[in-house]
Amino acid sequence: MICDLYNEPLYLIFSAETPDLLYYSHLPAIIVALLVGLFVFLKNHQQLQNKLLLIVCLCFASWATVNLILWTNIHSDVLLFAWSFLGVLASCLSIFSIYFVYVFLEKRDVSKKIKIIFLLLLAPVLLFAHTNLSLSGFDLTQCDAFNYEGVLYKNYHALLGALAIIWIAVLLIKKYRKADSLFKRQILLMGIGIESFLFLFFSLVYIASYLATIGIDSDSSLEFYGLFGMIIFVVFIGILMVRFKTFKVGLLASQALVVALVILVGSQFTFLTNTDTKILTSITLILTATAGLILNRSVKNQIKQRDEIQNLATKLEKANVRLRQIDKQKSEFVSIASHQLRSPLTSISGYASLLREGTYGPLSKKMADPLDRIEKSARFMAESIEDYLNVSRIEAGNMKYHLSDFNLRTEVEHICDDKRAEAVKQGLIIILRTNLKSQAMINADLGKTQQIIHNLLNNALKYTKKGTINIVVHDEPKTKKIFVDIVDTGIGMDAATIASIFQKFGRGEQANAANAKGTGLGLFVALKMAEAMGGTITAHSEGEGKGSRFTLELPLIS
Amino acid sequence: MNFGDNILLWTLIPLMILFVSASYFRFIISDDYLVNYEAPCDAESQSCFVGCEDEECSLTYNYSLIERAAADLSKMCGKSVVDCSFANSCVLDQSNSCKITYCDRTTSDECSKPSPSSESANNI
Repeated sequence: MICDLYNEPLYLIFSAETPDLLYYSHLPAIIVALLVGLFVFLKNHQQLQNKLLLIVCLCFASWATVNLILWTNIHSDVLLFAWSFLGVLASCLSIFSIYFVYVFLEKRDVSKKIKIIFLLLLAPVLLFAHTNLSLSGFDLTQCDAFNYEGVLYKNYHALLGALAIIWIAVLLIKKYRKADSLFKRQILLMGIGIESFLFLFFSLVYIASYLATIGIDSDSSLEFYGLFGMIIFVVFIGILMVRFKTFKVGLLASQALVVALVILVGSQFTFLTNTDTKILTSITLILTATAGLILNRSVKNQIKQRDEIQNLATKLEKANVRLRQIDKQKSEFVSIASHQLRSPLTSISGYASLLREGTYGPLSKKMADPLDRIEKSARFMAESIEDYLNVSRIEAGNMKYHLSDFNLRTEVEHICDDKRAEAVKQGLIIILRTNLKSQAMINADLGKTQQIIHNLLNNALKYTKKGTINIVVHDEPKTKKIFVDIVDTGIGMDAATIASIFQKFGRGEQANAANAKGTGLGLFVALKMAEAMGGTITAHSEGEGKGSRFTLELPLIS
Repeated sequence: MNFGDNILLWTLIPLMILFVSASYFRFIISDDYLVNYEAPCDAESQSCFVGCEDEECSLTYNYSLIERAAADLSKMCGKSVVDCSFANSCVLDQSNSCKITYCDRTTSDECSKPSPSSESANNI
């Protein structure tokens, strides 16, 4: 049967008896949806989210096309057949929008359980679309079926729309809370885009249909505005593509999209007859072209910036590889230094000792001094190598600490006893004093602690020509700290030297002037060891020639 | 392709095919639906709806509403109800699906008013 009051359309959808806004709202939305959906899919069809975006776009484009047919066709059978698709397509749009947003957020497919829920929600719409529950008749006078739509069926697919809006909002909010700042911006853009689209689409289409049923808005033209939601969605998808490469389609694709949009809007002039619509289209064209130009400029800048970042990243990667090689070489060198330099040094020291002890026959007095020098030099070299090895271990994080409980006061006493003879030889006196309120028990690496005190005491002996070296062991049980002060009457330091002596190779000018041998690594190593055991080392001096005070601080056992 | 992973796809496609086929069969082939249209109405004997011929409603016409099976109407009148006497009443309809609705004066003010002569005749 045909609606006698209306004329037959041209090519199924073109009719002169339609509201002005019909083609303006439908055609761009259909073409843009198809363009975006197909473009994204064809550029990267492996990605599930691209497939789902295509399905969402296809559902929308099909719905809008069917709706266009309903506005222009006059055959009751064709109209009812097309009408039965509206609910199905709207429901698919709801469910696949949820599916799409889920995959966009989680970057993986939904579980089988959720798929079954989707299926159960869609099944009634598909099963009853052809029955009287959906449509029972047709009004030939009005040329529509609003009065014959099943209320239950219509409300069901409208509710699916509402469900999609709420479900998506919940998914977005939940993910937004946990996301990093970059993904938060993507979620925000996707959220605004899809929620605006679904809200405009479902609310206006439902309200228009309801008003038509109760006879207030007989032609339901309010639904036209709902289709503009798709344009909003596409704009946000475009931003996601350009700024975040969300669909991995490349920047050129986004530029092509802008151009397509401008061509599309401009092409509407070919069929527009109404002046108001022409003005509206002109404004839209100008706005689209301007936005497109701005977007293109932004895209160019972004490409430039991205290329620069890419270049820097490549250079950084190369530098990293080179650094790893150097690090490996350094480790190899350290290994060589450790095993191949130390062994001959041990031999040199050992044989020098044997010679001095007369193992190879009696030694003339003349030979004593050179042998002594050989021994000292070998010891210095061995200590230097040990310093280098320690620095290497500290920097590589390979320094091992074996913690145990011991009495610090006793250890300091032993070290002082060991060094006393050497000090006397230099004309110096070592005085040990204690001022302890606790048992002086600490939990630290015994060997490393001894090494630190040895190092500090050696320095004091090295840079003191005359006078005394006072060693004071005292504690603060309240703060659970114990201190070893090594106070000398040596060359002293200025403030600049104090600031640099704990750095690698940091040797004061006074130290060089004193002609004392040293690598400049001893204090650096000592400080790092003390820090690793929860303590520190500080240095004080009144100035050059006024002596120095080095304080080792370590935590007491609580 | 694993059925479990693509359960949605494998179930939706047959359901879609089923829906399209059933809908096509019902609406296009069988014409299994009701149609509602305006039929001529004699204001002398019935309470008719009043329609406007133009936007200003300077010209009016009387009509009743007929609802019947599209298949019956299509069989008797073809594509259009214009100039089809079968469409104008339910008298010749044998399927009992035809229903005429006249304007109800108790609920609507826009019903046709019978001429005085016919009203007096009715009173006799």
